[in-house]
Amino acid sequence: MVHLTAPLRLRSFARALRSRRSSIREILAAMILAAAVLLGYRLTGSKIELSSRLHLWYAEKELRVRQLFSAESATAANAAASTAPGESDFRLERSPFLSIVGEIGFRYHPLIDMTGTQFLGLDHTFKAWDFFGFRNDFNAYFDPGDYLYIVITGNSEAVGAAHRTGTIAQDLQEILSARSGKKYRVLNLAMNSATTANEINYFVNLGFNLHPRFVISHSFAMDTYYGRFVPPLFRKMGLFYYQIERDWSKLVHAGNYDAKLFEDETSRPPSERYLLEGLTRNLQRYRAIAQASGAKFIFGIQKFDESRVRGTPSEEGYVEVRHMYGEFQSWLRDHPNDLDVIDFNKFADIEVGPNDPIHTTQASARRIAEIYADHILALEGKQ
Amino acid sequence: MSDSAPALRPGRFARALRAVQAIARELALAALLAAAVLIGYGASGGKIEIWKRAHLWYEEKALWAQQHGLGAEAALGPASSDQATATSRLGRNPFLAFTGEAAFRLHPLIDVAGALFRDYNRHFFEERDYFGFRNNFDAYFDPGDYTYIVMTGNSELVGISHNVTIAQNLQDILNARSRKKYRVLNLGLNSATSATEINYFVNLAFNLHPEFVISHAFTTDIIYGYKVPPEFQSMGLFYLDFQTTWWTMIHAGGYDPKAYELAISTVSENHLLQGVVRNLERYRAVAEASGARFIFGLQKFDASHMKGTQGEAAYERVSRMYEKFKILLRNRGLNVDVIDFNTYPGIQLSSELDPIHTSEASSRRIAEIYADHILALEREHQGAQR
Repeated sequence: MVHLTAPLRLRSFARALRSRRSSIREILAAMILAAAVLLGYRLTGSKIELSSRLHLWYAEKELRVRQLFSAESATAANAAASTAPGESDFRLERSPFLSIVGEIGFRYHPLIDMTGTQFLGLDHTFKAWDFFGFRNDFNAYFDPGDYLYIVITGNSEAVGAAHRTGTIAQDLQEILSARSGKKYRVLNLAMNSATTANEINYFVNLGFNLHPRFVISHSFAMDTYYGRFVPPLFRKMGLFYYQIERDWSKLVHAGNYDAKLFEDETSRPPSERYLLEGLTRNLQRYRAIAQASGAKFIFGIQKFDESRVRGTPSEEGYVEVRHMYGEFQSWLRDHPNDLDVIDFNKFADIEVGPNDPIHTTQASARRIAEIYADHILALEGKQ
Repeated sequence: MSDSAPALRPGRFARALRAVQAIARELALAALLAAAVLIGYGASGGKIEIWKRAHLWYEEKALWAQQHGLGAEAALGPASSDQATATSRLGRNPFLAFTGEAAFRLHPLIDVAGALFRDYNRHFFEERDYFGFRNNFDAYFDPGDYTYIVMTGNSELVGISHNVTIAQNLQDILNARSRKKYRVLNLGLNSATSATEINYFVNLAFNLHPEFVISHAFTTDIIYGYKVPPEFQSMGLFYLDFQTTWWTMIHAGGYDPKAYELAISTVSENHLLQGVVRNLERYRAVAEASGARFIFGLQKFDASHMKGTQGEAAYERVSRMYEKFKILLRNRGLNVDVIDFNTYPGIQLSSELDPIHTSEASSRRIAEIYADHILALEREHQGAQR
C-alpha cells in the first residue's frame, strides 16, 4: 500500500492540475466573455451603475488622500479662512456642477434645477458655455458692464439646438446694436426641454439682478408636452417639470420611495383645463416678476408643426400642443390686455427643419430675431 | 494496483467529504460574519448603495409586471377636461412618497422638500401639506377667502422645538386681534437659505397674492453660504451641502470630483454679505410684485451656545456677519423692513446647547412682535387711504 500510494498521488496530482487548468481556462473564457458583453453594453451608450459608483468611490477617496497629504492643498484650505478683501477673487471658470468626464448631458444644479445646454456641434459646447452652462460667450452674472440687457428664456429652440452659426439671441443682439447704436446684450438663459416654470427660476436666480429692459419667454411647446406627465395638482399650479427630474429623484432616494405612486402620476388623464390654467398663471407670474426687476415682458409663441412627427412616438404629444394652442388663443381673446404676445406661427416665412416639430432653420432664427427687434425698438420708441 | 484502488477510494471520498464539510462551514461562517457586518452597518445608519439600487430595480420591474399583467394600461385614459376627475385621484405628492424613514427630498422647481420636526416619521402626511410643509391646510389649490401671510425660513420657523409654531401663533393672534380672516402659510424648511426661500415663494405662494411676506432667517445663509464658491456667494446662490451629495449620486461616474477642490479652496466671507443683501432686495421686489409687503425677521441666535463644539467657528462667523449687517442697516444700505429679534428681551433659546431654536414661550413672543408690526402697518395703510 505504502509503495502504491506514491504513483497514485502523482496521478491524482496530475489529474487535479489538469482539472484546475481547465477550470482556469473556463474562468478566463468567462471573464473575457463578460468583459466583451460589458464593453459592448457600454459602447452602445448604456451606463453601468455599479462601475459608476465604484468610480465615484475611488475618485472621492483618491481626492481625500491627496488633500490630506498635499502641502499645496493645506495652504489652499488656510486661504479659505481669510477675510481680507481681494483674496477671494473669482477663480472658477465654470460652475462645479457642470463638471463632466463622460458624455455631455443634462446636469442637476441647485436652485435652477437643470443646466448644461446641448446643441449642434457639441465638440464646442464647453467653449460656448457661460459659467452656468447656458449658451453665451460672456458672463453677465459677475461683470455686467454698461450694457442694456435683454434676457431671453425658452427651450431648445431658443438654445439654438439646430442653429449652428448663431442663435436667436445672438442675432437679436446684433440687430439691436446695429439699428439703435446702443450697447445691447442679450443674455440667453434657454435650456433644452425647459418649461415656463423652469424659465421663471432661471430668471429669478440668474437674471433678476441685471434689471434688464426686456424679458422674453420664447416658448409654449414644452409646457404642453411635458405638462401632460406631471400630477394634476402640479399642472394646475403651473409646476411643469421635465421627466428627467423624476428620474433624478429616484436615483437620489432609491430604496426609499414608493414606485407605484410615481408611476401612477403619469397614468392620470391629463386635464386640459389645468394645463391651460397652469400655463396662463405662469405667464402672468413671469410678467409680474420681470416687471418687478424693471423689465417689460414679451411672450413669443414658438413656431411648431405637429405634422413633422406624424407616425412617430412624439405625434400624440404634438397633437396635444396643437390643441392647447387653440385653447390658448381663445384665452388670449378673452384677456386681450394681459400679455404682450408675438405668435411666430402667424409668420409664413418661418420654417421648422425636416422631421422636426419645433426647431427652426438658421434663416428662420434670423427672421425671428428681426421680428423681436422690430417689436422692441417700437416699444423703446414709445417710451 | 487495480485491487488496491477500490480500497483507497472510500478513504479519499471520506477525506474529500471532510474537506467539503470544512469549506461549507467556512462559507457559512463567512456568510454569517458578512451578514453581521452589514446589519451592524445598516443599524448604525449606514446605507448600502448596491442594495438600494437593487431594490429600485426590483420595484420598478415588479410594478411593470403588475401593470402589464393586470392590464392596467387601460388606466391611461384620454385627455380629460373634467377637473374633478383629474384631481381627486391623487392625494399625495409623489416626490414625498417614503417607504422608509422620512428625510429631505429632492423636489423639482423648489429644490428641497419635507419639513422635519419631532416624531416626523409617525404622522408625516397628516401634519404636512401637499408639498411637505408644516401646515394643516392646502392653500395652493383651495385658497378660500382668507387674507394670506406667507412665512419662509429655516428649522426655527418649521418649529423644530415648538408644539405650536410661530406661524400658527401669528395666525391665532391676528385673527383674535382683527376682524379679518387671516391664514399664515408656513413655507419654512430645515436648513433653508434665503435663495431657497425665494424659490418656495415664487413657485408655491406668488399666486396667493399675500398681504405680507415674512422671511424669518439669517443664520443658515451664513452657515451654508460660507461653503459655496464666491461666484455663488456674490449672487446669493446659497445652496445646501447635501445638494452636492445628491448631484454626485445622480451623475456618479460622469464628473470630476477635482472640480470641487477648487470650489472649496476659494470660499471666503468677502461675498457673503453681498449675497445676503442682494437676496433680501430681490425677495422684497418679488414679494411686492405679488402685492405683498415684505418683512425680514432676523432670527434669534446665540453663538456662545456652540462654544467648544464643532459648530463653534460657524456660529462665530454668524456673529461677525451679524455685526457687519447691523452696520449696513445703520448706514441705510438696505431698503428692507427689518425686525431684529436679538434686540428683544424675553426671547430665549430652547436649551443651552442650541444656538437658534427658541423655546415654546418665545415662539408666542416672536409671533406677538410680528402681529404688532403687521397691525401697525395695516393701521398706517388704512390711515393713508383715508
